Amino acid sequence: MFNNSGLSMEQAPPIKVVLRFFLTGSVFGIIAGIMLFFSNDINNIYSAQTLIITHTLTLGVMASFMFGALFQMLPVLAGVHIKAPVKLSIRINYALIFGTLFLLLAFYNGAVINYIFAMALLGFALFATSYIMVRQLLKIKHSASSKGMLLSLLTLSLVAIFGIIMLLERLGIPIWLNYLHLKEIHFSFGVFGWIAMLIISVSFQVIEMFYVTPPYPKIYAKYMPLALFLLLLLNILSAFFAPKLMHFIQTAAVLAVAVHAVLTLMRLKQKKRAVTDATILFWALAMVSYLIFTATCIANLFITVPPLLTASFFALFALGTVFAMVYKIVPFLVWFHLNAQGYFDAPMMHEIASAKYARINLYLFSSLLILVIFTSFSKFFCQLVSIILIISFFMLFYMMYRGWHKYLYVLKNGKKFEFNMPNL
Amino acid sequence: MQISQYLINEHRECDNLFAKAEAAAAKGDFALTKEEFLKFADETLLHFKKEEEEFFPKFEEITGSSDGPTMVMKYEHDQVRGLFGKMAQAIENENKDTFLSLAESLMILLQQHNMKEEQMLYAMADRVLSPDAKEELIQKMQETKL
Repeated sequence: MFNNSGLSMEQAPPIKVVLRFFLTGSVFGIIAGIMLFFSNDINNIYSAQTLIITHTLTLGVMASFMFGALFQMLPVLAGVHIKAPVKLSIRINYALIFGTLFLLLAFYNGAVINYIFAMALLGFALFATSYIMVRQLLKIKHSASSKGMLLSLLTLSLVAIFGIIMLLERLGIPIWLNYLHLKEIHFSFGVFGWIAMLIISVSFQVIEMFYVTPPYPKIYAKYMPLALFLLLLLNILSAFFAPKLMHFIQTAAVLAVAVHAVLTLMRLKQKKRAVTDATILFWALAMVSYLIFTATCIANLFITVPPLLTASFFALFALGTVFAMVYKIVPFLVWFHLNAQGYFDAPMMHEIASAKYARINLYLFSSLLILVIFTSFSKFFCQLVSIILIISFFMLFYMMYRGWHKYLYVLKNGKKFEFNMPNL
Repeated sequence: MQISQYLINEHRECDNLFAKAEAAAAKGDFALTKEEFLKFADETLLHFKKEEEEFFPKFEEITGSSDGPTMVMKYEHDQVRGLFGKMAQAIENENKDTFLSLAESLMILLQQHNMKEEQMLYAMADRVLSPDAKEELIQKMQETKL
């Protein structure tokens, strides 16, 4: 009866499943920063450099963090059963790492073999993740959050399909579709469907839970992911039948997510917990960045806004959310997994990430909100941004590495008491 | 009244009491922290008792299983009880960092636990139990004392 109702009491996957993806994402963040430092053609949206840095951030950084978060959240919060998560996560993690590296190389030198490896490995990583998680998500009774995750995973498949079609076109295989329209669709599905929709779905779950805030309005939470998904489908149709409408549809998608940013800021302001830690401020920073991104999109309807500026604010939205989640989740998981195994000396959350350490990272990251404004006009600021990005990701990496190190140390040397664990 | 309504209200009340204890600790007022923490711990432990003595047995009767979800929930209650002991110790030692760190872990643990109860166990009890059975169960829980 319990299972028939779509319920599951699966507990968290082993901590290494999540950390593997998070550490990978941080390393790609550092790589993105290094590439940005040496770039000289980042203002040109059609340049290979722009393409390489964009995909380092979207695939190397964002996909890694988002896959790690999904491996953790789906079993624990949505009751989804993922079979053999350790094996699966290793395969997906390696396919994502090498697929991304081959894609970056392909963008750099155009070698056919790199494109082929990129398509095969990324195809596996993205489709396998999407297929396995969607299949399990279809079996459960949905909350607003899990429904959004389902739609964002479906969107991920579409992003991958359109991406692969574009790579085929680059290999000289005729695709009989307008390349620019394909690019627009790939971009809007990736940005609003995969990244923004997943952030929205996750926030439905964690904002109320971590900070004790009022819930998002019920009707809004129920229909928002679906409405965004339908808008993006409409975008595909308009690409084929009414290309002039694409611009309006994308603006509608921008505004829909802006509503979420405003609602999230309102919730954070209404939180019952008196303590304002760095993670709350990372969330707030992410939402403010999104609102500035929205303003640049609207301004772009009337004047020419440098694309780098618009893209930078979206990146701060996505990365700010990542920092907010990781600073909360990783210290908790280290404590949780050790405590659950009965270790007396499981390190507490502040021993993994002290409030001061997280705040320093927050202040560094916050400075980007101002500095990115000047990156379109000055190479110096572009390099300054890249240095701060590298330090920020290094701090995040180091915090997780320390957590993992402490975890292994306690496993080996910690005092443990035995108690009756339920058979999970 | 629905089972979920009654028990979810208690979760929210515990959240409010927790927030007060945490706010007092953040200010470094340990006398107030102790007072608020005791209120929070008492309310939470009473809620656990209601679930373990009244709600879970009823749920086990519905599902025909006593080693499934209710066992996990009881195990998580024990984890929370363990944290209460450590938090009380931190108050005695007037150690703000330790208390706030434990409070953070407790909050995530509790919210995760509450979410599972609210979305799964309570929802199922609402669907399956007759109105009379619900009334009777709620009355028994109201009469439970710590």
